[in-house]
Amino acid sequence: MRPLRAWLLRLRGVFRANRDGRFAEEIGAHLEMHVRDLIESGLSPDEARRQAIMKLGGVESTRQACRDTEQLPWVENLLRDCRFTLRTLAKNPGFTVVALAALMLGTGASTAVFSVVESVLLRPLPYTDPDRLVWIHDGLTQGDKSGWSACMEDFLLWQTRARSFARLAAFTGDHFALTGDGQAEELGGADVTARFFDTLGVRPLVGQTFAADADQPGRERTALISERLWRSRYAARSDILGRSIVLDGEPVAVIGVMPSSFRFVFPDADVWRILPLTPPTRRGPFILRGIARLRPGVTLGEVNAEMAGLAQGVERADPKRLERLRYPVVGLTEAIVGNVRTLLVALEVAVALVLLIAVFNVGNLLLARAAVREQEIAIRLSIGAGRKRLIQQLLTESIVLALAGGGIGVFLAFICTRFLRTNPPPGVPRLETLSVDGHVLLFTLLICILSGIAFGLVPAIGATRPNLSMVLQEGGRGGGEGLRRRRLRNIFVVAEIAIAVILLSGAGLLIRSFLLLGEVPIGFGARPDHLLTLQVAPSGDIYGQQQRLAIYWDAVIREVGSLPGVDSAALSIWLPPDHAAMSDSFEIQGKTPPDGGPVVPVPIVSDGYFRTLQIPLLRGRTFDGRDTPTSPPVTIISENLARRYFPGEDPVGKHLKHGGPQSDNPYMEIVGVVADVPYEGAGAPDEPVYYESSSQIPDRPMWLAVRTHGDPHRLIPAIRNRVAALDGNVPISHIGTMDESMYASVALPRFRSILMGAFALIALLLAAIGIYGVMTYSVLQRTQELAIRLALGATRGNVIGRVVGHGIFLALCGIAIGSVGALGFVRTLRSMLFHVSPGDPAIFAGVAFLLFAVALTASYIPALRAARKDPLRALRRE
Amino acid sequence: MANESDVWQGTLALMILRTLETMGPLHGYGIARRIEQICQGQLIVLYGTIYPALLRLEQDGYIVSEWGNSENNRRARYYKITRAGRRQVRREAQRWEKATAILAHFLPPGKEIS
Repeated sequence: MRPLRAWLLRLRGVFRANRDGRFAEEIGAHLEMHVRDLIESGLSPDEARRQAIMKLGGVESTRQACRDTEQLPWVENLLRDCRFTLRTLAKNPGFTVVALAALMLGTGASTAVFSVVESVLLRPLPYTDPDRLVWIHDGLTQGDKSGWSACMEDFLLWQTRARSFARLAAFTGDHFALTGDGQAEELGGADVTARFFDTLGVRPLVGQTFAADADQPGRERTALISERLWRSRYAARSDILGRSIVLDGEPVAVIGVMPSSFRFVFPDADVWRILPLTPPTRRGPFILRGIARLRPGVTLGEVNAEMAGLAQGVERADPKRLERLRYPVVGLTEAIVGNVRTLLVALEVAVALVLLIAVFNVGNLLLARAAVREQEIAIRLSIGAGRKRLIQQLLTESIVLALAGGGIGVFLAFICTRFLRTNPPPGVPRLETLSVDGHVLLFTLLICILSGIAFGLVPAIGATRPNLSMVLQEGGRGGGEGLRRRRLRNIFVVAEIAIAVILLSGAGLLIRSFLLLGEVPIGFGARPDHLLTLQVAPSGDIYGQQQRLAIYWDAVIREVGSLPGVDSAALSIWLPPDHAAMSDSFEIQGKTPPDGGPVVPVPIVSDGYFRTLQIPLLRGRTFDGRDTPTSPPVTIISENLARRYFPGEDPVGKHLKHGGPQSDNPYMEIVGVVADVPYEGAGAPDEPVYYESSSQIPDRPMWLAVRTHGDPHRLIPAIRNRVAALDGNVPISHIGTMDESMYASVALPRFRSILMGAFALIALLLAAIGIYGVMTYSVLQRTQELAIRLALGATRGNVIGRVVGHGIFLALCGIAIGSVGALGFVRTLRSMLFHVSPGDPAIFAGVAFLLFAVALTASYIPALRAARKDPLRALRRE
Repeated sequence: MANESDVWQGTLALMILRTLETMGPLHGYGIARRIEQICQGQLIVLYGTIYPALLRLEQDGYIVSEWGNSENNRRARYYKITRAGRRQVRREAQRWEKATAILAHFLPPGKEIS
């Protein structure tokens, strides 16, 4: 404590006004007493005074020693340097604005991206002891798809046999129709087993979580609801506990409310309903995902070994000889954020490069200024300023500059993160808690100080080591810029250009991918901006009966289809571009492998679906009135499926079985072939698709697609009314146009293209400023030389050529080095590219040309200015 | 030991504290004179070094100071040792005793040290 107290006292001393008064008086008294004593011992007053001062060791140095002890000398120096810096910066507004802008962009981008990295990747998941939480995949690895869901049989097996888990739970995403107490509402959420909340270690806001045996068959169905739903629909009343609400037509007792801070996988979840562990009659459906808390001391390796053993047991016991069954276990954090890591790492690299280019840029500006200030510094050195002290002062300047730029940058980052929090790009999890927090600010402070030192140190060391007599003799003519300094500035510019090449190549590839995504054929002829899509979700026991459901759907199509302004209306469980529903395997006898064909989308569609979306029919027929629940089952396949499994033959009339060889489904007759439609988003690999008829297999919920003449938005109220008139308890949700869905489906590629493009643009701008600055400065330095050349008969063209040639040389060096670096950087982007190879020559050539043009322009302007100068006047001024 | 003033610096604080402990409140000049007297001319004290040392002791809380009147009615700053200061004297004294005792083993009396 004692040293701290002393330190604080001294810090206070720095800011105290009348500092010297006390010592002046004390030393005065001391001298007076000493002098009197000396006089008493027989000295003359003058001699007494002389001796007293000598014995003291000098009045001024004593005072200084006291001052240094009273305060912290370095703090005082620092404050003085800061004041001096602010004065100098204010005196050079041009320099200050450019430097601050570069630093603001560099630190702002770094801060914003780091705050994303921090909240997505680094911040621990908001659950108890998140390091021990794991995610269990079911690894029936078929095709290349990963992240398969598990079935109830798997989960029960894990629950009874696995020893590694302290807690284990399963869940599956679900949608619920909430009816009975007000307007019907479609809610997102999940069905979860009893230990779900215990596993995560989260507590409810009100009430309680599920009892340990709440998922045993035969118990009352219970649920927890979200704070949002509790507040909006139930006015935050406490009597919600124990109350029965109707979910999908079935009463469920609400036992608790989860706070809005709780989020898990489904960001908009409003309901967590208990999932009863009903013993399954077969392996499937594969809709469950497992989460678990590891026992203390159990490692990921151990749990994976145990689960692999269990999977092998299942394989051996299965009569149909399942193959390749695995239960891979990964950390929960990895499972949730693993797939955005690449993107974030690439962005982190990109902003680091932007920051680096800003540092080079400011370093360059400082070098130019150091040359201007050479005289000032030389004078200070020659009148005895310590070199260390001078470097300290110059470094203070650069760090103050960095901090000021960083301060504005943080402000910029605040705006960016707020925007991202409210408009999160889909596919990037955990952005809802995005903020510029203490960690991020610390990070920014650190990079500011480091970059301040980085761009300040080289010029500072160089500036304080001048050849004194030479500089002073030159008398401020600024004739010969030091060779070393000139070389440094050239290196900086080359580095800037190289970095710009790297970033522009990355951005070019991502933007080109994004544009190519937009060119992917949508597969249907209807105008996307004239297609309205909405989800209709009839629930409850009534619609559990296939016949009633079929009648309801027919009525919906009839009612909506007959509205004025509607051309055609149809239903499908799956809509392009990516409103996904069921995927399944299939079997074509003699064509597919023994364990079935790949797992592919299986849209169940109404008769008018192909007509409504205007999907071309290539062969055979579409579904029509002939297809009923009792007629022989039929299917329509996509061109891709036909090409792959029926090359050179007519698939119409052949047969296909839903679900693969193990399933008990009947073979369906192929009645038609339609054009390919991408169902898993633009950019997904081309996949076979087979359609089934909703008249034969009525399903729910379904998407209603409505093709209109004019603006489809005008029809929304009328469609709502017609559907509500049929049954007011059926919720309608996700209303929008196909156009809007297509826009949203490429949001992530758009997001990363825009971001990378913005970084590249900043880099290009900074590099341009860098080249321009260096060329302008070097022309200024060579005014005399160029003027003599002109006077001696060189043409303007010669002069321009000399200057521009220098700029081009630097640009070519930068482009060459940058291209090598870019080849490394774009490798990290590989997984984000679509139909573009990382080494795309067009992109690289374009980037090189762009930078070449920029360098040419940036050096031509100062060259032209130099050539236009009247040589006589230029010489006379010297 | 190349620089004799180092020893001096390190021990000055203890000398001041010890002087204030035995003599009671004193001003800077008085402390300096008293130390010189006790050292009997073996140490040359630059009086100016006393003041930063006093300031540091005050910051450490070992002494307190206030303005008072000297014998000749001249305003002077008087320093007084605190309880913490007395404890510090004990601690430092023990350290010195221990150090000299250890060194005594290496420097037997009567033997020439080259």
